Amino acid sequence: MKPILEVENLKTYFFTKEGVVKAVDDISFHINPGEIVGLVGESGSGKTITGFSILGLIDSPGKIVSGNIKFKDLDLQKISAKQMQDIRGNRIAMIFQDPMMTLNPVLRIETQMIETIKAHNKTISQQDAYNTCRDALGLVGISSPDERMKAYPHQFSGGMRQRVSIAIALLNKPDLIIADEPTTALDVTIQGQVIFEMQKLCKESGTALLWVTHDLAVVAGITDRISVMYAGRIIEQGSTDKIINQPLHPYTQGLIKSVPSKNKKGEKLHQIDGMVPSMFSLPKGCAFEERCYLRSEQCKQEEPSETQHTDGRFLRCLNIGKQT
Amino acid sequence: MKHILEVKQVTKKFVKSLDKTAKFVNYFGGSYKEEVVHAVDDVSFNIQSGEVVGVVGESGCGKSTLGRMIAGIMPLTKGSIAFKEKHYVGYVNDKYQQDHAIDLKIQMIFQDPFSSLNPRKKVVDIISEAPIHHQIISNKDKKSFVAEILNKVGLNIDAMNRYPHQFSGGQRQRVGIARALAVSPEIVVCDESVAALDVSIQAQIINLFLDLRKNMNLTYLFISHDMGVIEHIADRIVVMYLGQVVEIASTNEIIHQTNHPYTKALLGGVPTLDTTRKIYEPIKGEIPSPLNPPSGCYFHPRCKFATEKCKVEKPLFKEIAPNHFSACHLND
Amino acid sequence: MTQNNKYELLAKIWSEFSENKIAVVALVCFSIILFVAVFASVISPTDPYDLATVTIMNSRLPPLEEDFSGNVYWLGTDGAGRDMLSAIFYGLRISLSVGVLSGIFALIVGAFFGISAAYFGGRYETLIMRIADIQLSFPSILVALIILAAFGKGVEKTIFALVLVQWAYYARTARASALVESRKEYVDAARCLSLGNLRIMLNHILPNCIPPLIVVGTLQTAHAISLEATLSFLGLGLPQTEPSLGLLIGNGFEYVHTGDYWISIFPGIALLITIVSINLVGDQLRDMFNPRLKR
Repeated sequence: MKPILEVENLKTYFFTKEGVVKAVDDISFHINPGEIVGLVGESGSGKTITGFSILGLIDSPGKIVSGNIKFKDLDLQKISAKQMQDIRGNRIAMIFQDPMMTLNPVLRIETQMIETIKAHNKTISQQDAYNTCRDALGLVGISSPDERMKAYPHQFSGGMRQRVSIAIALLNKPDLIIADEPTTALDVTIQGQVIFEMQKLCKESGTALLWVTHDLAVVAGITDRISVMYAGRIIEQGSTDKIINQPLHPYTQGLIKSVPSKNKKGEKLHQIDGMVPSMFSLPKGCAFEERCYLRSEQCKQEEPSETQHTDGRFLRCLNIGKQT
Repeated sequence: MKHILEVKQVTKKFVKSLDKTAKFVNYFGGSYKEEVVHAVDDVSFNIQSGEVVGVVGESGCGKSTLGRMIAGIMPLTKGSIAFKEKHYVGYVNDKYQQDHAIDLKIQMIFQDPFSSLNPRKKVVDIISEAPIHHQIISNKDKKSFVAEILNKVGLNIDAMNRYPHQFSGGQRQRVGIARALAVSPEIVVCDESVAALDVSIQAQIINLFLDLRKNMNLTYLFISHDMGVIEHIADRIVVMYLGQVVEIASTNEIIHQTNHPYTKALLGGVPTLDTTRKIYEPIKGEIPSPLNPPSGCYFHPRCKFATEKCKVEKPLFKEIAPNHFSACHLND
Repeated sequence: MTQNNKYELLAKIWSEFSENKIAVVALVCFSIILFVAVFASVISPTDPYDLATVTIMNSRLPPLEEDFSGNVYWLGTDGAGRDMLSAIFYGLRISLSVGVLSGIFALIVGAFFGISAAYFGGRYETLIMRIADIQLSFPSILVALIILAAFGKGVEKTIFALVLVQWAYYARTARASALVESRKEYVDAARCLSLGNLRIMLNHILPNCIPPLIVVGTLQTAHAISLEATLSFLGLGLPQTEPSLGLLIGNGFEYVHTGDYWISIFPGIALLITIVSINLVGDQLRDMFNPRLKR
């Protein structure tokens, strides 16, 4: 099965006055049609920039320096701006952490949703567009959609706004949705609803989903595969089951062990000592070396390249051998 | 002494009164109503010395407001709070009083590491300002005093002369903790203090809290929406919904003998590192607006087990097992 | 990216400021004007108010004319024989001092009311802000005229009038800033630590409100200078003994019709350059502080 999205050796750098920030430094991953893939990392790991790079939303001083982004055989970097415009919101949609990045506060919901449809389908009638939008709202669990259509974003709660953003993302039946921390700002009970709905909708419509987040617990439950990012690179990627239950990279292991539920109550949580290095002065060699329990002299000198482990997953580490 | 803190029927009401136009219209038969929000509605509980009490709930439940009232920075509308059995703040015989001698004993650690430190002050001044102002230390002891506290919170001494923007989120939280510790509090209210931090830093700060509790004999009121964190460090948990307390029990009992349907929903909705593909059973409905709470039991529109009684009558907050309190008609 | 050095901070501010070349030119202009104003008595070719040297024989000499003793008057002389160049130098000094002084007092008064209004809120805030709004809805020139008509001419009275006209701008800006700052958690923390309201307002909130106040200050100073010039031109405001640029323009006005343009125009140009350069500097400061409020 051919992947619907293939990212190869992507590098997105930011050229600021204070120096070059290698926000995304040589990452490769792919998404198959209908798959749900998690892109996990903490702040500064580059996961959000990855999402923006795919959609061509990187503005100066940032620039995609090298690498390929292929969407269904289309090289996203070589197409014209107009072609990219056709793809955005239509074949690839994005959901942001803050629904107000999607929603215009001065327009009614129906105006915004119909606009999304009409931007990519010039021939559709107003009534048909309206019906599609209303049905989409129903699909994401918003009751009395006809009334809701006439409302403004500020009349909705945070959870509902996010659901409207999801509905908008689904309107044109995209092949891929990139969701950047879609449930982080939501309450726990609403988060549960939204995760449930997204999972259901993606499975029903065969839409692939890239779920970008720092929350391992959320991706553990719904993704098929996970890629873990640290300081601009993917340090481990593979099936969700393997990554969560048998993490190999010391960073992934540390992350999972720090989650409170994995620790004995009342005892000190496992912590990864130290901090993420400043992106302006990344060390030579492996970026995680200072905080790693497996570190060796070689790690200080040599940056690990991505290699495939025997169980199929990919790792960036000099000290976890190819043999188990 | 039994309790280090007693919260007695504490209520906080926010009222948006009618302006002149609305009053004018009402005079001619209009029906504008005042907007009243009971951010915290008749909350009572006690904290033992050395305990960690977790307060958990979602948006609009009032946990932050409650925390601020306990810390003394938000006035109460009704009720009172006692510290070590002496009146601290609130109404005594219909008179509002606040004992300022106790103010410093209850300190607060805030959520946002970026706005909780004054960007124009150096770390040494941020930490030493209050102790110098209250004459706990003298100006010349400033540096050594701050050095000692920085050590306790795991920061390097050269942090003293730097400004907040030079630190990361986790480090800023440590400065905030140092600032609170500088006045030797006995109770520390943590208002979502780790919510804005990355998981790996969160673990460091939580460990710091646990260490300080042991070394400095602190009592914590830990406010969070993150059940996972609360489960780990709290001895007892207070569950709030729309300004009211719905359940209080030891952490163990809350998890293994959950009583209130909302607590059950809260626990059930928390994503865990469980890869067996979980089908979420989300509870239906939105969190109601605090301006317009439902009648009877606030949770009834979303409750699987709601009965007719639930729609009409507010359930009493009762002890249903030793030291386990809940407000649900199903217990009757 | 550590900026613990004050010099590094200044260097950073300078590099941002100098991105706009026009503003740099304006700053240079203004620096020259400031220099002239401060050292007027030293660098002036003559003392135009020394009755011993001024003689009516030299009156109304056009620019670059020589007088009988061989002195060249670069910008000509006025009706009483005073050297225009020197008069302008002294005039700049007076205009700038009145403008800057009134700006500083207005800032103090405005910041005080604005910050306290934001901090305490409630009826106090409403009262202060309504007064400020009402004040701002009157044209400043009108208010100043009324005050000066009531109290008469004089330096202190002019400064008083200018402060009364300007404080509301500062108050509004200070309040807007202070509202944002008061809601931040470090103010809550200060309250938790029982630091006292006055201390919190002065020590915590005020320093964080300074950037927008500097911007308003710069632009308002230009406004004050121009307002004072208008008042002096009209014969109110500063007395004849303190001839600001406005007064010079006013005095020279009658000669414009007879063709002795230099008596009015040159002070006018000096005034124009002063106001424009201050405005350009203020604009650049405002642009700098805008997206960079998160320092």
